[in-house]
Order: sequence, then structure tokens, then C-alpha cells
Amino acid sequence: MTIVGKAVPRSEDAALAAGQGQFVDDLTVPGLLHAHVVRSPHAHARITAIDVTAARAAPGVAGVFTADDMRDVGPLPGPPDGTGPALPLLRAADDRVRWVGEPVALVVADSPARAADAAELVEVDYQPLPAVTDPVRAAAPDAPVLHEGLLAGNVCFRRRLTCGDVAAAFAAARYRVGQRMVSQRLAPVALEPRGVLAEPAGDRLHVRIGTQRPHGVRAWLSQMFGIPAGAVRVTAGDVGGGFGAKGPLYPDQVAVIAAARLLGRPVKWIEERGESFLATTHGRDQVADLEMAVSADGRILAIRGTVHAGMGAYLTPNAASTVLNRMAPLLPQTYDIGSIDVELVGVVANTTPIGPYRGAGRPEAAYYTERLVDLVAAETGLDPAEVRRRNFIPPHTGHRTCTGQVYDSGNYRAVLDAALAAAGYDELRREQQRALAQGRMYGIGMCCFVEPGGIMPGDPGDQATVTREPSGKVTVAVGTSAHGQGHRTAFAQLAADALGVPFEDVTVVFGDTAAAPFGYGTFGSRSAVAGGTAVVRACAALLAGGGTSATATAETGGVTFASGCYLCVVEVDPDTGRVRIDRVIAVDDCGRVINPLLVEGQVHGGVAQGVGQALQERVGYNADGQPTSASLLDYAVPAATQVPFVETARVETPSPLNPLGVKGMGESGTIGVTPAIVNAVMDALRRYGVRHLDMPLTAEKIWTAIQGARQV
Amino acid sequence: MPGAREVLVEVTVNGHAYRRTVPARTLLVHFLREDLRLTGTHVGCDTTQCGACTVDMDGVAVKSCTVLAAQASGHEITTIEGLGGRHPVQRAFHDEHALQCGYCTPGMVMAVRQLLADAADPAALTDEQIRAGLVGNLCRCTGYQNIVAAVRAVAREVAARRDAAAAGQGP
Amino acid sequence: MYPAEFGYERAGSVEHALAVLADGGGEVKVLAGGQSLLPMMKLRLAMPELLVDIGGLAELAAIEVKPERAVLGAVATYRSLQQDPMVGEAFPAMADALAVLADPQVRARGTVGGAVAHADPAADLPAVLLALDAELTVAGRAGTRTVPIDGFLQGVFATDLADDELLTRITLPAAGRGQAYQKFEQPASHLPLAGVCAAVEVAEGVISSARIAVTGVAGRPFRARGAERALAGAAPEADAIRNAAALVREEPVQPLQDQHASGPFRLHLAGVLAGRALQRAVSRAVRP
Repeated sequence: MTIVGKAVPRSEDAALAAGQGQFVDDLTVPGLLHAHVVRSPHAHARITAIDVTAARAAPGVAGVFTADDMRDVGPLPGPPDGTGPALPLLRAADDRVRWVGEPVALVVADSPARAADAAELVEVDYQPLPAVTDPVRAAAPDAPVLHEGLLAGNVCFRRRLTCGDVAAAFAAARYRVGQRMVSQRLAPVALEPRGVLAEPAGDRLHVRIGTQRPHGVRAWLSQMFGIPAGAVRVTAGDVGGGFGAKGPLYPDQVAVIAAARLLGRPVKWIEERGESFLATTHGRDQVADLEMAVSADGRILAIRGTVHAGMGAYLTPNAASTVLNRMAPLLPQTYDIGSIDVELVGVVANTTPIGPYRGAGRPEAAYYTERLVDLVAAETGLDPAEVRRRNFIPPHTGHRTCTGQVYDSGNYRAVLDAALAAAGYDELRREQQRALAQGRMYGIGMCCFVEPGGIMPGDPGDQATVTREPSGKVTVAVGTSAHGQGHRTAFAQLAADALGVPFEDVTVVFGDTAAAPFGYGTFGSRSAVAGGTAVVRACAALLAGGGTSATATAETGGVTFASGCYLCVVEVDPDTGRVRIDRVIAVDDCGRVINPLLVEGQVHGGVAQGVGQALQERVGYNADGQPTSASLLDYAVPAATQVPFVETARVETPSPLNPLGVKGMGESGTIGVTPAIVNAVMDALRRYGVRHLDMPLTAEKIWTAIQGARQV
Repeated sequence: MPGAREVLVEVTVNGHAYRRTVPARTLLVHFLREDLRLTGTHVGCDTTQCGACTVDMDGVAVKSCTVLAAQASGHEITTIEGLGGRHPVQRAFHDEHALQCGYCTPGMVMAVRQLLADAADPAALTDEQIRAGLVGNLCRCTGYQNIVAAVRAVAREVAARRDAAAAGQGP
Repeated sequence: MYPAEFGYERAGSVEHALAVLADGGGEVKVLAGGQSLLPMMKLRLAMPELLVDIGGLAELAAIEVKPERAVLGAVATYRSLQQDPMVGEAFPAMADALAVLADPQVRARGTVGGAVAHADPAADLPAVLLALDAELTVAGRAGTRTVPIDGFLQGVFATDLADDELLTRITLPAAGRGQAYQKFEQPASHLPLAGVCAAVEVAEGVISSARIAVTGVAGRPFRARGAERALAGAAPEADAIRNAAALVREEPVQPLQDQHASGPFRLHLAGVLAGRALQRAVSRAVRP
């Protein structure tokens, strides 16, 4: 009896629901000290002096550190092609600070409260400098400049993605549909704040850290501290959500580790929530000026334009590649578009550095393209579903986009049809007509998208080791690193079927470099493909080779491309502008499904975050570069009353690229629902002649637009 | 000026009596986590919003990050550890896949427990009422949908047991 | 997340609390439910030298609903008010506000006196208390005094309370059941960007009196007197309500303005909510 494909409740749950999780802050060791980070209150300033004397003398203080104490620690990893500067650790006199929240100094004391008390005694003299936060303004020649030696002013990269013949396409076009669209800066807000517990032991180092990439952290720490990787142990333990932001290694974490080594004592640091809004990487922050060339019968011939991408004050390793490799080449989405000419401008500014955030490039691409498609529908008078139908790549098991992406398989028409059927689309349009007649603002919107997943950042791939005890119990150790996704369950299902053993007899281990074989961690919807493939191959090797243990490496044929179609029905209150989401239909095609409970859970969670981007989340800065949303009182993470019920359905087009036929899908909710909501709201506002509004679609923004239109 | 910077806290937690002297500024959540090593109650924010710190104080769910240990002295606390692991709400969360990373879960379980206890007829709770009852608990992973399903599952179980009892079919 | 150090004293009686306040030199803060004070202390926006904890004073937690008035102890929690059926019966607008105020856990600790003494301009309950003409009893070393709530709430986090005084009771004169509270929340904090409480008396087919209080819109909650006057003697129908709502919108207040909502939009919301609250209040008045 196969268990892959079944809705198996999770093995993770018993401990977590009983409060027996082991998150970093749950850990204590003898002699533990606690750190507090002193951060810049200015968006841009020169430090003229730092005086730590009073702080050093405060009760319970073991040490106060600045950059001067960490000169021998190597740099944090930065972008691989050196497009811009990586984050420094701490600051010292004569250094510049470049964003509110940048780490300046570190206080270590015998309790977190006393470390916080002493931190207030660190005296830093700042000479404020002019600041800039918006990526388009930061790219202007007269903007305050953050770093010397970038490409031009604050521009750290300017690349053009071109294919086909855009000029000819626009010359032949019957319609040109263009729009400026903003994918606004967002904060990931995993419920568990970031933290680290560093335990030096002679030449060895054990780091407990809420990370998505334990082996990555080990490699980076080994490099930065000049310690052999074998002497560094990294344990992720239970991680309370990541959403991409627990992928990078951060300067505050490294400073804590450095301080621990200098003191020869274990040190723990846990971020406060208000601090996390400053210190943990943000996502998105792009301004797109894009235009579609469209034929008389609604075929999209080309996309051209410019996207300004904010990078924050420094570049994290993947910030540039998110734009260059995960956004721009995905602009064609599910459509057969022959020509693209897009300029991508990466810009630093006095804001929190940008890092991966659920979707990382793919939500932005889907938003730009799907928003333009709806504008094309409005321009041509075609139904939005019909425009999509006329442009889909036909069902395939291998399609190369003009931008060089190779989609493994897909049937986008089937996915759209499934969404329309589940929604009862024709009846919805009839209901819309009835609502309009009553003066109600009723809107329908959709989004069809592809989601690349299963990336293998390097060679060799992730490993899995399968060990069988004489009792028959099996242990599977794998190099991916879940932080809520349910891998202990999903990978046990794979191993149970592969080895023909009961599910209950399989234990899955990951997250600890001492116990788990090499892997790249969990991010970018990669684990079912990379980890799952490695597990299945290791099981096969065990069966083939006999013995008690076997290790195998994931070898996949490349990136998989899940797809989906999400449809939303909304109603807007004309008196207040408030949006009520009446229905969300989410159809996902992620190939073969290991555990439908887990897939649906990922969709629900992704949709909640997508609703957040569409309607209520935004990281804001005022004119002086001061954050205006550095608290849950101002940054609207959706609460239970703000997330709609999601109707989920699945289509299964297996991937030919891996033996499981799986496609990664953890980010589809954030990719698919945001454009669907925006398209639905704009559909509801259509009668007022409102063409486009930027996210978040707050009540005041919508109400003001309606008033403006009514005046006309 | 009168007033002690340290306080003697005498509190019953999960049925055990404790006496500790702690700084007056000690929050109940830190007292539970650090002094009593009951780390199931979590800290997720600093503005009393996320609810990850929710515990039961004298039979009512409260946010332990916004109660001083000093205020709790003389009172009875139940934390997630005190539910035993097989409480109907914990079982329903498992059955309905109502947790992913598990960080909000202890607080969410305590809030659900309160929501059900306060409802005159749990089986009659609407989705809107369930969601309003959970507005003090943030979850970033599940989108709340399966949490609502878990509440319904426990409500059905409660109603079934009550109906069985009413029909004289035993406890 | 870690408050600055402070001293803590648990009050054994009101007199004890008053004595501590009198000696405090302004550096003492009263701790009741702590749901407004402790968050400020955790962010070090408030750093009192000493907290005097009145949360255990049962004499300040009593709720008494009589035919002619209700007397609410200042330390009565929102939850205890919600759980007392006589409160909701006598004051439906209060039941409305309690249902949408903060969250269940905060309501379990937060007190009605705390809300009034804290004077957050974006708080729900003060609108109800203001519409219902609440009177506050304030105790000091010299004795007690009563203050109407309109004079007591003076501005953003500013009240009539002196450093050595304690709010002990909130008295609500009896009102008819024609009352309602409507709110439009700020999506992150769930505080009201605008909240309106309407209380109407309907007699012989006309509105004999109307009271409308608005919170979240200005530096302190205010009564929309212009709208109230226009409703007196009017038939309880859509036209009168629409007219009153427009008058609420035009109240001469300096509206709050921030990233979440502009002043004009808040005023607009106040008008919309006034219309909805009045509609609900009227229907409760004619069909209790």
C-alpha cells in the first residue's frame, strides 16, 4: 500500500503542539551570556566617535564590541559577481552607517535585560547625511551616494535582458499597453525572531541558529573565521518560519559569534520584533515601467521597459540574482511571448538590505505580466480569460522561453479551465452584471503563473543518507532544512514506499551539520525535488547494494516549473473603499504530490502572505529615511479576520526531470493570489475609469480613486 | 521611595507551586521560560499582538508578555506543557494540519481552548466568530484555515460527547 | 522588550495606593491591567520609578447595574463587563465595542479605568462612555471628586487626573437600548481609525434625543453636537440620518493624520460610521 500521495498527518506535530519544540531561544547552556545590538538610529550618517566606557562598566557586562574588535573576521558573503558591497559586521569611528538599524556595536552581559540597559550607555556621535530610500530616486544622478565605486552613483547593476525583435513587435502592434507598477517593499515577519547561540570550545565552534541553510552557514563561518569546516557544527533545531529571510547569514549573528570567541564564553542573541523590522532582510522593493505590444487579436508580441530594483544599503548574496535570474527571465510566464527587452537597474538606498522573501522575483514577474494582461483585456475588450487562452504556451513537456528558461512540463490551459470551472466563471460574470445593476462594486480577477522550483545552487547536489537498523527502523538524514514544511513526514513517506517499510518506522533527520549530510538547505521551493530525489536514490542504493547504510546525491534534470491559476472575487464598499475578498480559488499544478495536506497548507499560508501584499502590508520610510512601519502596530501582518477561505484544487502534470515527478510549490500562494486580487479590485473599479492603483490597496487609496473618478 | 526592585513570586504553574525572587521588571513570559524552564510559551513580538505567549491565568487566557511575574504571584497558571500533549485541541491541530513551523502553536492552542470554553454552543460558532476569537494570535504559516477547521473539529467532538451524555450513554 | 528597572508595590487598599501616589513625586504609575502601561514600558517609552499595583483591589472591580445607573469599578476588566449579561442588556453599544476592542486575551486583563486614564485617542471604549455621558469618580488624599468624561479626556494621553489621584469608578446613567457602536479599524493595530457611538431615544415617532461620540479621529474623542441638534425632533428615517452623518463629517475638529489615514478620510469615515451607528441605534430603539 503506497503512502506517497496520501494525506498523512505530520510526525512533527506531537512535540510542537505540546510546547516541546527546541527553538534557539529555548536553549541554555552553563555560563550563557546574552547580547544586545546597538543600531544606527540614522538612515545615513558618519560616525565621529564611539565611547563604550560607560557601557563596559555597567552591571553584569562581560564585553562591548565594535568593528575594531573584529578586524580579523573575514567579510560576509556578498553577491557572487561583486555587483555591490556586502554587509560589514559592526562599525567604528569614522565609519558610515547607511540604514536605520545597521549594527554599530554589540553589548554582552549576564542577562538580556542588563545587556539592554548597558546598550543605552553606548555613546555614538553621528553626523547625519542626506538620505534616499526610493529606488528610482536613488538612481537619479543627484541622489545622495551611499558607496564609492559602484557602477554609477547608487546604481550597482544595469543589465538588459533581450530576445527576439522588440522593435519589430512594437512596430507591428495594434495595441501598446503600458503601466508603471510597484511591487512594494515587504517584511517577511516569521513568528520566531532571528537569533543565534554561539558556543566556542577551544578550536571548535557550535552554533545554534534559526537558519534555512545550516551547511551554508558552516561554510561561511569557516571562511570568515579561518576555522576548518569540520571544526564548526551548525544546528538549526526547530525554526519558527523563515520565508527566505533566514537564508542569509547576518552581520549581527556573526558579531555575536565573534564576541563569543573573544570572550571564550557561550553567547545568545535573540532579535526583538521591532528590531526585526530594521535588521531582517526585506523583500520585493521594485518599480516596473513595462509595456506590452499586442496584436489585433490579442496576442502579446513583446514586453519592454525598465525595472528599478531596490537592493537596500548593502547587497546580500542573492539580492541581484533574484532580479536578474528569478524575475526578469520569468516575465513571459505561461505565455508564448517572442520578444523581450527589459532593462534591470539595481539600486542601493538607505534602507534595510533586500533578501529572499517567499517567491523572490517570481511574485514580481507574475504581478507585472498578469496586471498587464488584464489591461490588455480592458484595451481589446476581450475577456481576461480569453486573452490568456490566446497566449498560452500549448501543453508541453519541454518549452524554452525566449528568455532562456526551460519549462519542464505544463498544461496551462487545463489549469485555467480547472480554475474557471471551480469558480463557476460564467455564473460569476452574470452575478457581476446583477451587482453592477444594483450599484455594487463587484470584481473578478485571475492570475496564471509558473513557479520555478527545485534549484540546485551548486554541484554536487544535496545528499541523503539512509540507514537501516537490525530492528528494521530506518533513519533518513537529508541536506535540505525544513522550517515548517513537514519534511519529517514527506520524506518518511518517500522512504517508506521506497523501502517497503511502515511509515512509523522511519525517522527523518536534518538541520544539524553533525548529523545531516551535505545540502543547500530549504528555500525557493526546492526540497521535494532536491531532498526528495536524494532520499529516493539513497533508498534505491540501499536496496541495490545491501548493507545497512547508503548515501546518494540528488541529481535532477534541472529546475522544475510548477504552474497555477488563482481566481478571486471581491466586493468593494463604495462608502469606505474597503475590499472584501469573497472567494479565492487556487488551482496548483505541482506535478506529483507527496502529501496533499502539506501542499494545501503551503497554499493557505502563501495566500495569506499574498493577501497581505495586495491589501495591507508595506514597509514605509519617511523623507529622512526613518522607518514608519517598524512594529506590528503599523505593519499589517494578516490576522485571522483578514485572510479569506481558500478553495484549493490540483492538476498534476508530472515533471520529467526527476524520478518522483514532483515540482516545488511552496511559494505558489504568494505568486498567484496577489495579481488575482489586484486584478479583481481593478475590475470592480472599472466603471469609475480607474486604470491602476498600486499595492497595498488600502481603503483610503481606493476610496480616493473612486471620488476622483466620480468628479469627472 | 518604597517599592522593592526585586519581588517574591509565589505562583502555581501546571499544578506545581513555585517560589522565586526575581527582579520586579520580570515579565511572566520570561519567568516561565527562564526561571521555570517552561520554554513552550514563546515570544514573537514586543507589542502584545502576536499571542505566541498566551497562557491560562486563573482559568482565563492572557498574554504572558504583558503580565508581570509580580502580578501573577498568588495566582494559578497553566501553560501549554500543562495540557499533557493529548488535549482535544492538540489532537485536532494534528488531525487538521493546523500547524507548520509550530512557533505560534502553543499560544494558538491556549487561545482556541478559551474560545471554545467561552462559547455557549461551540458547534454553533460561525467562521466569523472563530476568526474574531483568534484575532489576538498571529500565524504566518498556515493562513488560519486549518486552525479554523481544528476549532470546528473540537466543537463537533464536544457536541457529540454532550449529546451522548444527554442521551444517558455514559460520560 | 525589557523594561527599565523599577520598584513594585502591591496596594492593599485604595488608601494605600493613594499614599504611595502622594509620595511619588510624579514618578509613580498605577498598574491595573497593564495592557496599556506595560507595552509602553517594554519599549521604554515609559520608565516610571515605581509601580503601585491596584489590580487585586476587589473593591475597585465591582460592576453594579441598577435601573437608574450602572457603576463600574475602574479595575473591572473588559472581559468581566462582557460576561455580565446585565451590562450588555443595559448598554448594547458597550457590548458592540467590547466585541471589537483589542483581542480576547487583552480584554481579560485590560480594565475600563485603565482605558479612560490612558486616554489613547484611538481607543474604542471612550466613544461609548462619552456618548453615554459617563461620570468619573476620582479619589485623592483630600477626598473624592466627580468629573464628566468630556472634561476628563483632554487630549492625546492627557487627562484631568493629577499624579496623586486614582480613578475609582465610572458611572453611566441609564439609557434606552437605542444605541450602537461602529468601528473602522486600522489593519495592523486594529485600533479605530474612526469609531462612532450613537445613542438615541425615540418617543412618539420622533428622535427625542441623540448623542453621537467619535473616537480615533481627533486628539480626543468628541461629541458631534451639530449632528445631535439636527436629530432632535426629527423622524428616525434615512434622510435625517444621512443629514446627521454629513454634519458629523463637518465637525470643526483638527483630525489626526498619519500613514494609515489622512484627516479628511478619518472625518469621512466618521460620517459613514455615524450613519451606520444611527441606523442600528434607531432599529434597536424601535424594536428592542
